[in-house]
Amino acid sequence: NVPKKKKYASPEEIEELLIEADVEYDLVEKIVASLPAKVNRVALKNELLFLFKPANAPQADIKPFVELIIGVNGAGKTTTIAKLAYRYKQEGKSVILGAADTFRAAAIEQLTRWAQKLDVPIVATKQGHDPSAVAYDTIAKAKAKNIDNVLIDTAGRLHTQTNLAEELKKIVRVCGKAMEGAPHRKLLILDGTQGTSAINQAKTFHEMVGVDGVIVTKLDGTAKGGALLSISHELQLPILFVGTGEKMEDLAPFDPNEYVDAILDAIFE
Amino acid sequence: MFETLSNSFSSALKKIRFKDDEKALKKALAELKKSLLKADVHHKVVKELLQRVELDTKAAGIGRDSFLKALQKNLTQILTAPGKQGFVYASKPPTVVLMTGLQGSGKTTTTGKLANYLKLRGKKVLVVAADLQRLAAVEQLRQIAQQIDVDFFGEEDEKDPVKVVNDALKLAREKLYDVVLIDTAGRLAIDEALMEELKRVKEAANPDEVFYVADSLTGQDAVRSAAKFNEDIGITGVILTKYDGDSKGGVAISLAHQIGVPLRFIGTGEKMPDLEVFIPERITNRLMGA
Ligand SMILES: Nc1nc2c(ncn2[C@@H]2O[C@H](COP(=O)(O)OP(=O)(O)OP(=O)(O)O)[C@@H](O)[C@H]2O)c(=O)[nH]1
Ligand SMILES: Nc1nc2c(ncn2[C@@H]2O[C@H](COP(=O)(O)OP(=O)(O)OP(=O)(O)O)[C@@H](O)[C@H]2O)c(=O)[nH]1
Ligand SMILES: [K+]
Ligand SMILES: [Mg+2]
Ligand SMILES: [Mg+2]
Repeated sequence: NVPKKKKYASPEEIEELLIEADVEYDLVEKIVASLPAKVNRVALKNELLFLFKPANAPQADIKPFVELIIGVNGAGKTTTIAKLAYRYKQEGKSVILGAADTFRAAAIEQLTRWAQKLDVPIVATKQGHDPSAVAYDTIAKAKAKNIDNVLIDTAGRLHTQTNLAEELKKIVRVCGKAMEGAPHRKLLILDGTQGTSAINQAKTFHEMVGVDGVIVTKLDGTAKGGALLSISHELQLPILFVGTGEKMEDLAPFDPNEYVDAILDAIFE
Repeated sequence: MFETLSNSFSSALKKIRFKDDEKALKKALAELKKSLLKADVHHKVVKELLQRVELDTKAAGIGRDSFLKALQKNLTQILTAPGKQGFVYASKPPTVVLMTGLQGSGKTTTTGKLANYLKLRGKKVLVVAADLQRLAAVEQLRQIAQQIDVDFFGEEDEKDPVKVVNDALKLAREKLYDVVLIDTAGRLAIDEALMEELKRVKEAANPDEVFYVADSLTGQDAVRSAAKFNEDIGITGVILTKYDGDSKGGVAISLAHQIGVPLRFIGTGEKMPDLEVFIPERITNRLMGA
């Protein structure tokens, strides 16, 4: 039952397209209300592209440049760290990882295996130890060894678990003690298969610690990650990268054009 | 079942008076649509539910009571997928369970939770590490098993999950285990090579149950992926994880209806005791209020 691709679509068809792509329903209503009775691909594309503010959160010229990776359980934080480390290495930079998820079973081993695979140093303790101490030690080691990039993993936490918010705030504070201005970027990892929850996640984490950029994972599947539209438009958070697989190479800079095209491909020729 | 109609649904109800006209019904239906879609209920299920509620309300005479009744009746029907409830043991042990699903949905953790649940019920349980893809997945299950004091089977440096499963089942039969829980690697439903591998794992395991572990925060894609797993592998139950999140149960309603496979358990936290037998009322309550 592959739907036939078309030149024009009705507002009803566009509504379904956007809902199916997980665009927030309030936004769907707004978009659809502004459309004429017959819409072509270009018109809708412009409408959607408009929602993406030119968003860049450039890496400042700071050394070491410290990034803290946060997000809900299983979103892809640890894997994305490996992808970013691989990317920085390709750019000729030196990288160190901090295994500050001291909670989940074998989270430390997972990141340690990645470090071995990537051939980069890692700072790790035992399960149950204080994650902010790990963050501190990683930054200290980076300073001592003159390393360019620091990537710090954290335990997955649902945005609804308010008790875990304090722990995250503490990690952020302690990073600042290890180096003024650190962490320089707090990157929120969002699972692209998630629905309206992703918007709530972005809101809550942003309120909690201030998010500097978003990386959306698992867009190699059939999900379209339409929550990004609200996250970019309403929360004005820059979308930096998309994850497109489980390997360290599977990370691409976010391209609004390509992203919107992938949504439109479902009905338009 | 639906005593506590609050917030999300009450706004729909407010649009319609004790006795009212078609225009009011249309408004109430529009509100209803909005709250269902905001709860990530699959759009096809929303459409069907709205149609049924409209028909039933009109048949009974448009008004608040008939609208409410129609909503209750049809929600209940949609939540009720035929099949087993909770954990069901095979007539001849060991009961073999295959844990499947997308990446990061919670398979490994839920394998531990189920093992713990069964151990507390006096069963001799073996957990099997057949995820040989994700880094340190075997180690993760080993640590979980140790933590709950349940037997673990894994083969260091093995590449073929089929071999692991065969060896584990041989051991389970010899040592008279009651239940064998097999963790598998997460995979996308459209990844043909990995789905092919899962078919071979299933053949080797010849499981009594194939559980599909789904993240309850998933959006509209939940139905598509679960349907594909069901088509390709055949699933006998769904376990919804991360139910401690802000999901209003949209995935539950969508899956039960669109896939026609019963929901069996829900995961409500990261710790081993955080597992509950699925009870439709809980989902409905979440969807309808709180
Ligand atoms: N298909 C696909 N899978 C991904 C992607 N990113 C991560 N994954 C997979 O998703 C699963 C979870 O990834 P992790 O990196 O362990 O996620 P996490 O957020 O660190 O998880 P916790 O630490 O348990 O909260 C793993 O099986 C990854 O291989 C992606 O872009 N595409
Ligand atoms: N809050 C919460 N977290 C959960 C629940 N179930 C699992 N998790 C967490 O979700 C993350 C992913 O769980 P895993 O069990 O590693 O998921 P998986 O499906 O085995 O992942 P892959 O093997 O990479 O595909 C971990 O951080 C778990 O602790 C739950 O019900 N609630
Ligand atoms: K949901
Ligand atoms: Mg992790
Ligand atoms: Mg796993």
